[in-house]
Amino acid sequence: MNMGFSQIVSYFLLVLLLYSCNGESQRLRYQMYEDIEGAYACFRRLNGTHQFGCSSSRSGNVGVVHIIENQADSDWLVSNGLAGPYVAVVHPSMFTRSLLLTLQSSGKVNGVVMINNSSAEKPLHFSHEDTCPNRYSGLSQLYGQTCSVGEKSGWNPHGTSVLLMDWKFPIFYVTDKSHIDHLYKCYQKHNAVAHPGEQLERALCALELKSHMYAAVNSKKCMKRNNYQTLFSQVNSCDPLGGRNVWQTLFPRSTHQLGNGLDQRSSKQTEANGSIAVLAARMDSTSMFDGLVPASIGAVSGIVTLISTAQLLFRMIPQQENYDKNVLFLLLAGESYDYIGSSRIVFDMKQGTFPVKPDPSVAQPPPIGLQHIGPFIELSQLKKPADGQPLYVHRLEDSSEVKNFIKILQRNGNGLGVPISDKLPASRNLPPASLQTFLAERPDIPGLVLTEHAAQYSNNYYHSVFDDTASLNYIYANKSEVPNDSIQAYLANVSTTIAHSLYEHVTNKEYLGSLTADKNLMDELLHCYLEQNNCSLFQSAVAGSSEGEEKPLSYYVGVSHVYSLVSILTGAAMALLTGSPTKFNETDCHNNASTDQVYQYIWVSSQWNNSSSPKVCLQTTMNFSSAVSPAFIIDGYDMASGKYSTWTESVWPELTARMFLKPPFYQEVITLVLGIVVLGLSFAGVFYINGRKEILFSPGASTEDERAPLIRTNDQVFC
Amino acid sequence: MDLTKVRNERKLEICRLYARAGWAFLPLLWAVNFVWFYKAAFTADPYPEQKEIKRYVLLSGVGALLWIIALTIWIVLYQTHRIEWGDWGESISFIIPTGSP
Repeated sequence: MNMGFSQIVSYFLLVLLLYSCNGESQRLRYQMYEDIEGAYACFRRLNGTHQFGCSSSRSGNVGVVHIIENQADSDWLVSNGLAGPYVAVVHPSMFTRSLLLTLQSSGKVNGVVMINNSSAEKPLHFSHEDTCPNRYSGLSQLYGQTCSVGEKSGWNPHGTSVLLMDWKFPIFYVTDKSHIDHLYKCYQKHNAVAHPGEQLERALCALELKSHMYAAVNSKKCMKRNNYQTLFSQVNSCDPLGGRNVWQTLFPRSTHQLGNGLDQRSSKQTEANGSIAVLAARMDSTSMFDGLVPASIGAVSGIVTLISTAQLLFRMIPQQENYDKNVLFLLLAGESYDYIGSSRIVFDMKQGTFPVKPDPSVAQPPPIGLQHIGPFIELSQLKKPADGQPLYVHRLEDSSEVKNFIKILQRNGNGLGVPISDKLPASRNLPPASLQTFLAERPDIPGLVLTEHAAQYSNNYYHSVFDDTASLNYIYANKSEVPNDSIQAYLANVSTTIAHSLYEHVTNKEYLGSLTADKNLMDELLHCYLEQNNCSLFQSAVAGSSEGEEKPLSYYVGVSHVYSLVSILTGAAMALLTGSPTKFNETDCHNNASTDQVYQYIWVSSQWNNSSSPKVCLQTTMNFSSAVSPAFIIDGYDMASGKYSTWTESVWPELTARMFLKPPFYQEVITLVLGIVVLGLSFAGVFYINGRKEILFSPGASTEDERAPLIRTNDQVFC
Repeated sequence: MDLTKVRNERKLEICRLYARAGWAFLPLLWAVNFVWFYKAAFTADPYPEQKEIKRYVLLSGVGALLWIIALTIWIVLYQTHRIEWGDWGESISFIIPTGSP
């Protein structure tokens, strides 16, 4: 009380000054907010008719933290919560469709954060995909919806379709332990109360979630908006999903003989119908959160088995041998979104432009049509079944060709401890698979899908963030002996089975050699795809260029104009493991697309398990084909027709989450009122001073020099 | 500019200029003209140019009012019906809101 007003003000200023001069002080923003780094966000996707996923408001959604660990917490929030809006923080086991719907309809929830530190137990099942993945595409085009497995409701029994709903609030996923701990501490210190009313009188721990999405309504609308670009809105609102398929043939196919000693293998110019066997697997998966799509069973098991099979087949068939039959290896992108990759290949095949657009002046692979496809074998969701359990072959066709091939598979599999059970064709019922796209166009393709599930998926984490290394039971052997009961050994045996069977199909004779798939290669492949994408195999394949980081790959297909790391690395790995060495040096090791589209030349390490081994130029038939849905190629395509995939992904400016202390309501009111009062006072002050300006400001000024400064020296100021 | 210190002929010149320029789809200029010269036209002691200034001020006022009415109707219509109008609604929009229909 004995301090004068001016003393208080100067003290205050001094404190401010000291504070701002302090070397360790940070910006105010950093003192108020704790950024939650590494949070994964749910975003918006659209198809021809609807929007799916999440979006926040433009400036982000703010809510008071409420941790939901059990039903009681959720009930409390819905019926008692007074300090809303809230952000519900939930564990994976509580992150269910019913809870999300309850929160959404309560109107009190502004966002949801799922937290999970790795030590916590995984829920028993967690799949946000539909019970019938790709319900409206594939064979549904031909027969109407076919998804039912016996009496059960669908292939993916635990599917909740949360991925296929439009949520009104942002959803984030936080895995960082220290952030989760801070969140808990902050919650327990500030938000945990005995009576709901108490929350109104306290500063509360709150979260701000920013995941504003530019696109809305459906793909048709947002693609149109991309074209209405004016001076003030030049950003795209959405981009088509897609990428590149990886394809390769066992024997080179060429319209011209290249000669000049360029043909390492004798190439084929014409093919009979049904002479190209296809070995296919999908290369993508999905989950609810951006950048976190592990897909161990969903995609990786198929990719690695296919690569290892291809590598074995190339080793089994000597370079100079030539046969009438060929094998096409296909790794498809975007299959999770109504079969983008396969539908584009089928479209191109019908146009006569697969694998490349015909050009008589260039040596190139001749077009492959649907009629050329012999047996079509798809690897879908492989894992090691329980002891003594078989893998299952699903098929629609009952022709002798299919049956013969299955017999060969079974014979080869039995010798290798891979029993294969033939699921007799059920009526128009095939598990979701790329094969469906081909069958929808040509129903008599002798196709089969090799999976580990007899009926419904046994993978309880289909299309989710938990389809990770643990669900394959994979332990990296790191160049040591791979145990025989491991997933590596099992998948290697599956590869051997398929390779031996394809050998028999191509050459018409049983394989009598001793080559089998390399378990250590399988171990390394799984390590690369599941754990560390800068592994030595990928490093060898991209010859030390900087692709890859020390983390698992994410298998989301992404937008079509960005080439996903998965397809780049998969293509490179295929080429590395199957290519033929040439004598070219580094400068000559490049493609000449104007004369030769048959081969690609890549500069790689000569040994896959040693990235520092001497470099060599490999010639390979591996190549990429566009995996952009025909919907975005065909002029004037009707996006609502449902014929082709119309999936697009919204553009977003940022995905961020941060935590802060939100003052109680009364304090916010006081601050606002204070601000208004100060504003009013300053207006009044100006009005008052303006009215008395002649008295207040230098009375004689008008008679003297008007431009004379009012304040000349310090003396005058204080006099 | 303090109008009280300006000669009457100059006042008329300015008022006429604003009223004429307003025809170039500049309703705000009319509104300014109306407010600025209101005192000079209606409450000031009579002077020779006042009659003409009065005319220009009235014209500006009525013009501005008509503009306000027309714009209000259009803005309300546009804001409430843009989504219904579909593609046409988007094609006449200068800024399209992000993340909403």
